[in-house]
Amino acid sequence: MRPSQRILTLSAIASLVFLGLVILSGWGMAGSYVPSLTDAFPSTLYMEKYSSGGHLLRSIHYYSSSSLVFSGFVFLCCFYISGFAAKYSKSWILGVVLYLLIIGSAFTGYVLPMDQNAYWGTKVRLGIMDTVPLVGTTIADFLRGGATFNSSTLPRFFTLHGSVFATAICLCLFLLSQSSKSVFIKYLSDQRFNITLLVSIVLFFVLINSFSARLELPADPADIEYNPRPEWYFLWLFQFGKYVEWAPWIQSGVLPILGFGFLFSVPWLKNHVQKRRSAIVVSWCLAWLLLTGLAVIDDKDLTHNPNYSDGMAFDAEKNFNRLCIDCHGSGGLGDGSETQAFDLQTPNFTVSDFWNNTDEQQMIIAIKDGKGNDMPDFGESLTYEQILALIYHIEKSFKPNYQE
Amino acid sequence: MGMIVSFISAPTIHFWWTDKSGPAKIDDPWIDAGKVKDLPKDQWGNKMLLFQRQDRWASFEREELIYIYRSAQDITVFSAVCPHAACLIRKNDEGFGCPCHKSSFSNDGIVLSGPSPRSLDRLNTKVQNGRLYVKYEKFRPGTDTKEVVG
Repeated sequence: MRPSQRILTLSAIASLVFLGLVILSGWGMAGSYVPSLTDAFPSTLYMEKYSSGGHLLRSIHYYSSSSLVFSGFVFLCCFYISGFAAKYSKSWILGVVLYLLIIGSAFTGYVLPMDQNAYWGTKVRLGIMDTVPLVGTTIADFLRGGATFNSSTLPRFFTLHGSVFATAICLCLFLLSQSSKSVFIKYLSDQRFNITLLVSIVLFFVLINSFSARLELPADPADIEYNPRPEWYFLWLFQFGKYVEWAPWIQSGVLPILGFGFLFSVPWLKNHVQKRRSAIVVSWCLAWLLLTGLAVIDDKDLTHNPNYSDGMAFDAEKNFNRLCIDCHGSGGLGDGSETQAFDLQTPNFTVSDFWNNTDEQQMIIAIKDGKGNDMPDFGESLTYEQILALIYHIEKSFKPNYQE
Repeated sequence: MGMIVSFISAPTIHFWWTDKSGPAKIDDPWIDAGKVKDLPKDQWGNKMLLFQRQDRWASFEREELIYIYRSAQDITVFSAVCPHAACLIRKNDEGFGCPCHKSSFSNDGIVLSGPSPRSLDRLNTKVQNGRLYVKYEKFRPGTDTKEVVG
């Protein structure tokens, strides 16, 4: 076998495995995810932090889909370089449609966690879609269920992501596999291949479990400072958009027409284009690398968007300085200005005595409902998650001999 | 085959097509923005409007930022939503600027530079019993006309 064909087979198998992982982990998550503006984030957070297997599921889904975008791209490139696009035009068209559906799923899945990145990123994407000449606004309104983000938006994206696109992908895959059945059967009946695949999947799980799928603070439509970032495979488009800001229809109209036009007409292009196949793929990859690289360089100066835990820790520090410091003091000694002025019974966080007699549950109740005559209740102004983060902050900052 | 598929999917597409959240139908669109005399005089200030809006079955707490200028004669209120791509604009020395695509606006809301297709969206106001009331509306971003969408 020629090397490009070897890569072709390998990337096809990898894509299938990643697709299987994405679909199965998606089913797992759909078991506890709620697509509504108020519940989407809490249900995602629950999966990530408090459920027993949700963290792994999210990681599998997140990294498998990224890998799928990559392996699918490699497959299409090799298929094209090998000259199969003209020979098997039906498979090529199906493959391109399949890839677009995968990109579509990635697009619609992005908003579902409803964290800052999801909310702002999707707003930007729908904004780009709005600029598609003639039909853009209609399509964007159709997807959103209105001209702004509203209570139907998440259910619609969830349906497209988990049901419409997923079904269409399976259908395409079924049609595509009809022509190459014998190849799959040959591989699947090979014992050595099966064992290698199984071991790789297990290794993938182990590796992926130590990484987390991105989750930031809950979406805040009033946050002026937030800079949304796209996934790595959309960075080039994001960067390209910056250069044609003066005419957004180039990004949303001309570029897709040229791109899709080329992809769908490849099997019927004249010979001289067919002969320069490698050159076309290499130049596209270089353009991709260049734009992505420029985007990364541009991003270096931007403020880093914190993930959920870092964001909550920062939030807790702010809350402590805003709500607690007047009595508890900046050093947690219980010597704040109010305590001194009114002679309050404020505990000292820096002695082990306090921590020996207090557990987390008592602290949660004290913050939520207040304690004694002096400690006010903050149940109205702080959420449960914020209270937990605040306790963590107090422990980390003041508890003697604190260990993570 | 195509006919059958389109017939099967027609009810779904019809539902998605027609079920849209439009401008909120509410009895009292005026939102209290506080006492007029608390607003800074002859300079720009901003305010977060807090109100409740209904969207289909769900009722939401909404927080929307506005910029207010109070002169001796009247009060100007701009929505902080950029007319280009709905990012939130910020006050700067020359007027307003949008951090997303670098549109800039004068203090009168007129586009100075950047891709914004129209001036800043001025909101309707009224003063009653010494309090400022703002009719908060959202307009479709990216178009040169002000179409109310929420």
